[in-house]
Amino acid sequence: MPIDADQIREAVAGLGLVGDKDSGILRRFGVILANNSVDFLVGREIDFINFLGAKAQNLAEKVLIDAAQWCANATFGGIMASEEWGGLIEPQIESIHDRFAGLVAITNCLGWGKITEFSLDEANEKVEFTVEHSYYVDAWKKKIGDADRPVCYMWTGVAGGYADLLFKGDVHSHVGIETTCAAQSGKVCKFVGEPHSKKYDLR
Amino acid sequence: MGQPNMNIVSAYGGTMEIDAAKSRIRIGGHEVAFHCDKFNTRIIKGLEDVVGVKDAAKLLIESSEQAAYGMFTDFFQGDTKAAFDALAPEDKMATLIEIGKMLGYGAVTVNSVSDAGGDFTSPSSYLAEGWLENMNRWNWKLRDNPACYDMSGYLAAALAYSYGKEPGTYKVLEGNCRAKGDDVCTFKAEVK
Repeated sequence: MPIDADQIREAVAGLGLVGDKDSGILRRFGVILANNSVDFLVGREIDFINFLGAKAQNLAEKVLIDAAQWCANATFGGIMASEEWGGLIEPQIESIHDRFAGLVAITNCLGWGKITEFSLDEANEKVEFTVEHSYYVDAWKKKIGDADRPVCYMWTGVAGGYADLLFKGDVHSHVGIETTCAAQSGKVCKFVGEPHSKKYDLR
Repeated sequence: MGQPNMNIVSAYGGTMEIDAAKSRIRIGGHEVAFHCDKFNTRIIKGLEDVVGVKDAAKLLIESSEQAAYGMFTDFFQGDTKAAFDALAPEDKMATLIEIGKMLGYGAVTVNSVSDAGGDFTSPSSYLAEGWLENMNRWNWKLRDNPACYDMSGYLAAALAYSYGKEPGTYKVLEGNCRAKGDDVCTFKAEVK
């Protein structure tokens, strides 16, 4: 049975994605959500990288990607264990490909940009996907200009996190890589999530 | 204390636009995205581990304040701005706090407020709630320092916008924090 992404999007929108009128807390899918300004989400990362300076850029980027990979594990793991997932998506799932499609459908409801293509190589524990309109791109260009490297750190962590979850590995058993970034040029960002190569991990 | 103008709050909620073709969301004319407490608390932890608590707090509060001020500026245009400008500053503050609740940031009680600053209490700031949940999930410990940098920045922006000041006017310090084991989060604001 194919995953019905439109049905999922409409159902998610119908959940009422605003904070509770008394507590101001927005609990959905087993996690606490907040509706954050994209200027904040990207701005704080740029400020952090700039604070550390060019010599520590690699460290800063690793911290940001790491946060997103942990988040992906907890958030999407929580989502897949939630009542909403159980009622809405789980009945449509017959394979690991369907499970990935369900995760993509949910991800595409969050305002991060749109995953337009995705694939999964079960034998090699690898996921690949393409994002159009990543929220990083406009925000980065507005604040910095064209990027000189891939900068969608959150998406990169999510790529590794998807692979961790789908192939039932521990957090960081897989690694995310952004292979193409629209903040540099073009219109799409491309990501890979694949097993972490411990043998040659000299980064 | 001030009263929120619920017509404005309701109007704000009505501005949410979901662009399904791009999977992007705007509210109040401002680009937003949903993220969870896990991501935002991990960002806090990552920044604190690398640059220390003091500098991480400064970075995150300032970034939050700038962005929140931009959200207010983007929303309050034309008739909406006229309606907001007609409110007393205390009511403006209460209105912006209600908007923060709608965005999922948590509830805030205003104990006192003026153009010199204010005292605020939150029984449910989302980052503190998230940190507490992480204690179960990831065996995190209670913090020695407050966690609600996003809320501190939001309150600084709300104060500045309510009293017609520039962002960066107010310093907001969180004292008690549920992530430290306190019953509620407390915030004290003053002019820098």
